[in-house]
Amino acid sequence: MTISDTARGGAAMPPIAASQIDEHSIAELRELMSRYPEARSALIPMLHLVHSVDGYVSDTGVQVCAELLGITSAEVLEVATFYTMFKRRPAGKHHIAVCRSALCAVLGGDIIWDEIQKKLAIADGETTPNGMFSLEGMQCAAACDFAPVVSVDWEFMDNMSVQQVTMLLDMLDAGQQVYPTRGAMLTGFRAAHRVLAGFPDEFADAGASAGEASMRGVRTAAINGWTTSAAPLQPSVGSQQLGVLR
Amino acid sequence: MNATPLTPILSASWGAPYSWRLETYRGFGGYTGVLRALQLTPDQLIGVVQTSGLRDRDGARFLTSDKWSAALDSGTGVKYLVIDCAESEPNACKDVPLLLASPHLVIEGAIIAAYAIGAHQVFICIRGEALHAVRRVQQGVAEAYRAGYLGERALGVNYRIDITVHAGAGSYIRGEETALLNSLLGRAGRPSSQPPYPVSSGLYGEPTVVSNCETIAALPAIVSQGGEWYAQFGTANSRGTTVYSVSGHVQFPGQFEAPCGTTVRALLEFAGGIREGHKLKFFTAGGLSTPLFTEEQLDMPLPYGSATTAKAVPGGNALQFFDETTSVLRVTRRWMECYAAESCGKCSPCREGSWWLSQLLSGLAEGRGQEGDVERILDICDGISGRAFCPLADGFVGCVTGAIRQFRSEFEVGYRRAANELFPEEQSAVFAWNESVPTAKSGNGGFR
Amino acid sequence: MSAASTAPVTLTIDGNSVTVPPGTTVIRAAEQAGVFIPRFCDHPLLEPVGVCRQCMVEVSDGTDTKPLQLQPSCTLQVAEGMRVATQITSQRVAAAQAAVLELLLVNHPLDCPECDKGGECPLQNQAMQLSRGQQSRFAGVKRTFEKPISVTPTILLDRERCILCERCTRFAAEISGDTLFAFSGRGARTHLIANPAAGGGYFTGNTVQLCPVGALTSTDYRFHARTFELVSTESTCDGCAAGCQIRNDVKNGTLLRRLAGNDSTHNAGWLCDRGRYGFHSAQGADRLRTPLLRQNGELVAVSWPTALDAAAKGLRGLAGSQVAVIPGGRLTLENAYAYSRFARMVLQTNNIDYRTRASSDEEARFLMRKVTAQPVGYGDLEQARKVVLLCFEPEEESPMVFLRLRRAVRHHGLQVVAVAPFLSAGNRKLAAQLLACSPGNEAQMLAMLSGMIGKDTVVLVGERAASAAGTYKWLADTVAATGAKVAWLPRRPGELAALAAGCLPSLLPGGRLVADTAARTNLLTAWDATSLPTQPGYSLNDIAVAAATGEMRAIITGALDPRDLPNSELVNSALDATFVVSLEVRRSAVTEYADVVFPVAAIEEQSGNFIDWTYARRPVVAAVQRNDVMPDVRVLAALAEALGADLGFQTTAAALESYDSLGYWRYDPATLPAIEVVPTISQVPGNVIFATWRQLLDDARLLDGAAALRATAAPLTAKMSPVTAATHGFSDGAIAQLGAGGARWRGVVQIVPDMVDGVVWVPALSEVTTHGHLSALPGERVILAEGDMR
Repeated sequence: MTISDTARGGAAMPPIAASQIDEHSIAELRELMSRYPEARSALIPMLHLVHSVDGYVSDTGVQVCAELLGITSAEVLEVATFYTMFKRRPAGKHHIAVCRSALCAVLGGDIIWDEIQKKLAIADGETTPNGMFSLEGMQCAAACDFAPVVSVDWEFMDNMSVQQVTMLLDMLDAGQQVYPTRGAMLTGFRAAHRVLAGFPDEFADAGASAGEASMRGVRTAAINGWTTSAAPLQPSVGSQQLGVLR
Repeated sequence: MNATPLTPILSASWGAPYSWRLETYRGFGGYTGVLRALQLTPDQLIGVVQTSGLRDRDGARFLTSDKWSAALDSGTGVKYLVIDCAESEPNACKDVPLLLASPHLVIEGAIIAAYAIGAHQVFICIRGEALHAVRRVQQGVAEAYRAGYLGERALGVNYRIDITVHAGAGSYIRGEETALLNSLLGRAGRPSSQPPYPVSSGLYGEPTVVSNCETIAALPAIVSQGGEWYAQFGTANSRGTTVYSVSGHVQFPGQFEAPCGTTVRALLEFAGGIREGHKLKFFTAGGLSTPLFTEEQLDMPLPYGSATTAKAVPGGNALQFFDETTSVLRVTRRWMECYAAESCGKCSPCREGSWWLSQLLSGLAEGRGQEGDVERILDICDGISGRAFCPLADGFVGCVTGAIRQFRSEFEVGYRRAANELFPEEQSAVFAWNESVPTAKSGNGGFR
Repeated sequence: MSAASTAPVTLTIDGNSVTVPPGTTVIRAAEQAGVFIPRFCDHPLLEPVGVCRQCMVEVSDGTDTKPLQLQPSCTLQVAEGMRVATQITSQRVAAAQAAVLELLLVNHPLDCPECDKGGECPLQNQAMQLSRGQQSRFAGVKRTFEKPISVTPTILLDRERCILCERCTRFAAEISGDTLFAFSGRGARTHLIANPAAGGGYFTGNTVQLCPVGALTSTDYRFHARTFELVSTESTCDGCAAGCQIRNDVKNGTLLRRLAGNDSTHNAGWLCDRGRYGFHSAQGADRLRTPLLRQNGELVAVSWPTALDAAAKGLRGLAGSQVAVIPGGRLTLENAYAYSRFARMVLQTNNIDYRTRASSDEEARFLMRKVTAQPVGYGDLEQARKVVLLCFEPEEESPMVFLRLRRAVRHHGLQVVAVAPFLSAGNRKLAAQLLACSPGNEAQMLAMLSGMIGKDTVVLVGERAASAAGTYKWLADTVAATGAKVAWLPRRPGELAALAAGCLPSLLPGGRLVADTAARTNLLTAWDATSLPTQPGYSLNDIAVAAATGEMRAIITGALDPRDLPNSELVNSALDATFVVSLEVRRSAVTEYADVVFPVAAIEEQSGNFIDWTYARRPVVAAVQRNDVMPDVRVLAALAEALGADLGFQTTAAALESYDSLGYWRYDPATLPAIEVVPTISQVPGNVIFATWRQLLDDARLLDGAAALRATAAPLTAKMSPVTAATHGFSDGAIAQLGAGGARWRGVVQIVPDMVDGVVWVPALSEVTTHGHLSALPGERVILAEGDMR
C-alpha cells in the first residue's frame, strides 16, 4: 500500500469550467498589489480573489498572478499549495470544513466527519458531482468553546451534532438561507473569498457580538457585580482641542 | 486593591448590541487611550507600558516595553508593526471572539503601539478561516479611517498611521514570527534563520515588531487607566489580565477574562465543572506541548509556566478538560496528526518525525501496534527533540512524551486492542448520537 | 568594520585548536581541522540554510558554566574560544546525527539498486557511515509520487528521493538566476515542482551534480553506468574559452559523462550545460578513423603511407605564396604551435589564419598588442567597480564569466554596462544598464563611453568587435588613457592558444612579429631552420580571394566550418578550387572538398593545454585511449617527413617543450603598427540593419549527438523594437523572414520594448528554414519581409 499524491479516483469530479478571470479581475488584482509596499505581498489576497472568481486556484489564475508579479508560475504554485485554504481543484458552491483537532474530534467531530462523508458520498478533498459541496478536514478552527465545530464557507457552525449537520446540509441543498450564529448569512464559497481578498461585503454587522460561550465570563462577572474600573472613563483631553474627532 | 475573580477589561463590551462598532466602543471608553498616548512622548509611553508590567501574550512573554525599547535601539527606526491575529495555535480560541466583539481594541492598540515605536504602517494578519472576524476588523478599520484615527494625519497630528488587514490562507506555523513575515511577503509560511531578528531586519528587510493580538488589545486600557492600575492585577511575574478559554467536557465552555495567576480550579468552577455524571480524567493548559495534567494539578496558577519565571507556554491560557470517557491515546494521535498537517516541511526532524509518529500512533490507536512501539516512539522523540529548525517539533515531542509518561498503559494496550474498544467514541460526544444516549448540555445550535 | 572584526578566530574542535577567518562557519572550520561533519543542505558555494539538521555538533562558549548545546554547525559562526565537539569525540552528537539520518530515510525510497547516484551518493555514504550497522526502524508507509517527471529535456526528477535540502532552489536564486524549481505542498508531502514551460536556462545540469541524492538525474546519463565502471580524468572543457575544469567519466573506452571540476580559481564547481552535455560530437557514425584519399571523385579509405604520399605530392614544389593553412580555433596549444611551425618551416609561408569567423585586420593589429599584454583574470571581475560588455554576451559566449559577474553584482555591487542593441535575458540577470547601440554604430557609442570608465573598470570585448569597425582602435587608445583593463573573450577554446602560437599572417609564436627581423632570426635559430618567410601573409579572407584567382593552390585545414564565415560562399569556392588537405575528427562540409583527409584525435583522446581568456594554461588530459587516431601534432610531423622536412617534434610533450623554450617577445605598444580602422560593412540593399550573435546552444557541430541538450535551446525569434515592428507591419508572434544575398532566415517575431530602432536581431547559426546560409555581418542591411507558413 502506498499513499500516493496523484489525483484520487473516487467520486466523479464535476467538469472544470473555463477560467472567468477577465480585465476587471486583473484590475482588481492590481489594486490589491498597490496596497502593499512590495507587490509580491499581495499574492495571498490575490489568490483569494482568484478563488472568488474561479472557485479554485485555476491554471489561468496562477499564470495571471505570476505575470502581474513578475515571478514564475512555480513560485505562485509554491504559495498556492502551501496554504490549505487554497484549492487546486474546484470547490463546491459551499465548502464544508470539519474541525479534526482532538477536542472537536472527541466531543463528536469524528462522528460528524464520518456521517458527512456517508451523506455526501465524498471523501476529504473531493467535491460532489453536482458541484454543490466540497469537503475538507481542517485543523483547529479556533472555536473550542463551541465544539464540535464545522465551518461552511469559512463561517463557524457552532455546537454541531449529527442531527444539526444533516439539517444544515439539507437546508443548503434545498437552497434555503442559513444564518450562522457568529456570522452572516451564507453566501457561498466564492463570495467568502472575495471578502478575504480584501473587498468587504456589507455583512459585518450580522451575527452575534461574540457567541454565548464566549460571553460566559462577562455574564458571570456581571451577575456578580465584578468590574475593573477605578474611575469612570473620560477622555483626558477634549476632542475639540485636538480638533480631530468628527 | 484585591482584584475580583473575573476581571472584564478586554471583554468588558462583549455582548453589548453592536459591540464591535466604533460608537459602542467609544461608549465603553474606547479611543481615550490613544488620545492620552499622544500627549506623551514615545519614551513616556513606553514607560507607562513598562509600569504596567504587560508581557507579550505569546510564548516568549518578553516585557512588551522591553521589546519596544529593543526595537528602537536597533537604530534605524521601526518601520512596520505586524499584529498576529492568526490564532492558529491549536486549542487557542480567544482571539476570534475578541476580533468579533471588540475589534477596535486591536485597532486602538495598534495606533498606540505604532506611535510608541515610530512605525507608520501596521499589518493586522487574521486567519482566513475566521471569515466573520475578518469582516469585523475590515469594518472597524474603515470606521477608524472615517473618524480620523487613521490616515495621513492620524488624530490630527502630523503622524501617518495606516492599517492593512491581511487575511491568511490556512497555516499554523504562521504563528512563528519569521514564518508570519514570510507569509506577509507573499511566500510560503516557512520560518527563516534568525539572526537576523525581525526587530533589526524583518519585513522587506526593515525593522519590524511582531506583536500578539491580545497584547495589543491590552494597550488602550493600560494607557487610558494608567500603568499602575493595570499592574495591580495578576502576579509579580505576570501582570494584568488574560482571557482564559475553557473547553471540553465541561458544563459551560467559554471565555473567562481573569487576572494572570488564576488557578485552574477557579476556572473549572466558572465553567460549571465537568459535565454531569462524569469525572475529570486529564486536562491541558497551554497548547499541546505541555504535560497532561490531572486533578492533582488543579491548583496550578495560569498561564502555565509563568508561576516561577516569566516564560509561559504558548496558548498557556487555554484549558481543555477531558473526562473518563476519553482515550488519551486517541487524543494524542489526533494532536500528532494536527502537527503533521501543520509541519511546514522545511527541516527533516519535524517533517519526517511527524509523519512517522503519526503512523505509529494511528497503529496503536487502531489496535495494530507492534510490540515495543511505545519505546520506539519515545526514542524517536528523543532523536527529534532539540534538533529541529523551529519549536514546532519540540511541541509535538512534549505532547507525545508527556501523554505517554502519564498514561503509558493506555498506549501499550494498542498492541492488541483499538482505543475505540475501551473508550467508545460515542461516550465522549456531547450530543446524542442516537436516541438512547442522554444529551449533554452544549449551548444553542450554531445556526438557524 | 572595526579592526577586531577582521582578526582571525581561534576555537577548539574535538580538542584541536583551529584558527580561521571571522565569519567562517563551524562546519568549514571543522574541515580545516580534518573533521568531516555529515551534511546534506550545506554546500561551500551556497548560503547556509540549516534545514537538514544533519550537521549537529555540541557547542560551548568555553566558560564551562553553560551546558553543551546541540546546534547545526553550518549556520553557526565561529567565536573566539568556542569549544566544539563533533561526532568524533561526543557520543551524544553521534547519536543525534544517527537519529536525524534515520529520520531522513523515513520517506526516502529504497531505490539504490536502480538509482544513478548509488556509489557516489552522499546520503548512501553518510547513512552507511552513521548507522553503524543498524537498520532503520521505519515499518510504515512512505509517501510516493509518480516518477520520474521531466523537468527539462536534460533533467529528470524523482520526487520521492528528494530530501528537501534546498540546494537546487538556492542554486537558482544565488548562482544562475534561472528559477527552475519551487517547493509545492507542506509537511512530508512537500515536493519539488519545476516551472512549467521553462527551458530552464544554461546551468541546469549543476542541480544534478549538486543534488545529494538521486532526485535529479541527467537524461543523458540515466541508467548508463554504475560508478564503479567509470574511470575519471580531470581535464579542461572545450566548449568556450573560459577554461573550466571538468571531470571526464569514461566507461569501456567511451566518454559517458562530464562533471564540473572544483577549481576555485575558475569554475569552482559549476559548469554550463554546453560544456556538461555537449561532448558527443566525436561519437557519431561520421567519425573519421582512417585516412581518406579522393580517387575518381570519391573519397576512399587508404593507408597512412598512401595518404601521406598523396598529400606531400599535392604540396611539393609549391611556393609559400601558393599555400595556406587554416588551423581553426579549437586546437590545444601544442597542436596550434605545430600548425604554426609547419606553415613557416615546412611550407615556408605566412599564409596562416586561425580565425574561422568574422575577423579583420584591425582585430589582428589589436591582437598583436594583446598577446603579451597583462592578462585580466576572474579576480579582476570580482574587484572591479564597473564592467563594460562590448560586442560580448557573457551568458551566451562564456557562461562562467557570466556566473562570476553575477556573483560580483550580488555580493560586491558591481555595475554592468552593456553596449548592445537590446538587453538580453542574461544581461537582465546582471541588472545591466543598456547603452542601446545599433550594430555598426559602436564607434559613436564608444565616444560616449569614454567618460564612464576609469581605473576600476574592466572592459570585456568579444570577437564580434571585428565587425564593429573602430572598436579595437578605441580600446587600444582608451586603455592607455584611463587605465581601464581590457579583456578579449573569443568564443572558442583554442583561440588564445592559436594567438600565442602565432597562427596569424603577421604574427609568429611567442608574440614575435613577422615584420621584425630580429624576432625572425631568433626564431630561426631556435628552430634550427634554414629560412623563414619574411613577408606577412594573407588573412583568411584574402586566402579565399587568392584561391578564386588561382594564386592559391593548396590549403591545409584544421577544424573549419564554412558556415561560421561571413563569406562562406567564397570559402567554399576556395576549397573547391584548391588542393585541400584536411585534418579532422569527423566528416564535415570541408570533407566534401578535401583531396586528402587525415583523422585526428578528439579532445578527450589527447593531452595538451588550452589557454583560456585569462591567459592561464589549462591542462587537457586524455580520458580515452585510441590507437587509430593521433593529435594534429603527430600528423603534421608525419606530413613534414613525407615532404622531406623535419617539424622538430613528434609528440605533444615535445611540442610543448619546444614552444616553452622560445619565450615571449614584448614590444613597446608605441612601436607596433598602428591600428587602422577599415570599414567592414559592405553597402548592400536592405531595409533593416542586421544584428546577430551566437547563442550558447545552437546548430554548432560541437553539439551534434546531444539531442536533449539541443532541445533546451531558447526559442528562435526575430527581435525588433515596437517602432520597427510597426513600421514593417509586424505584431508579436507574426512570421517574418530576413533575406541577405540569396539566403533566407524565417521565424517568429518577438517585440522587445527597449531595443534600438531599425534593427532586427536573429540568432546566428540557428536556421529555422534556409535557402542557403544567412551570413550577413552585423551592421549590414538585410531585407525584412513577411514570411509565410511554408
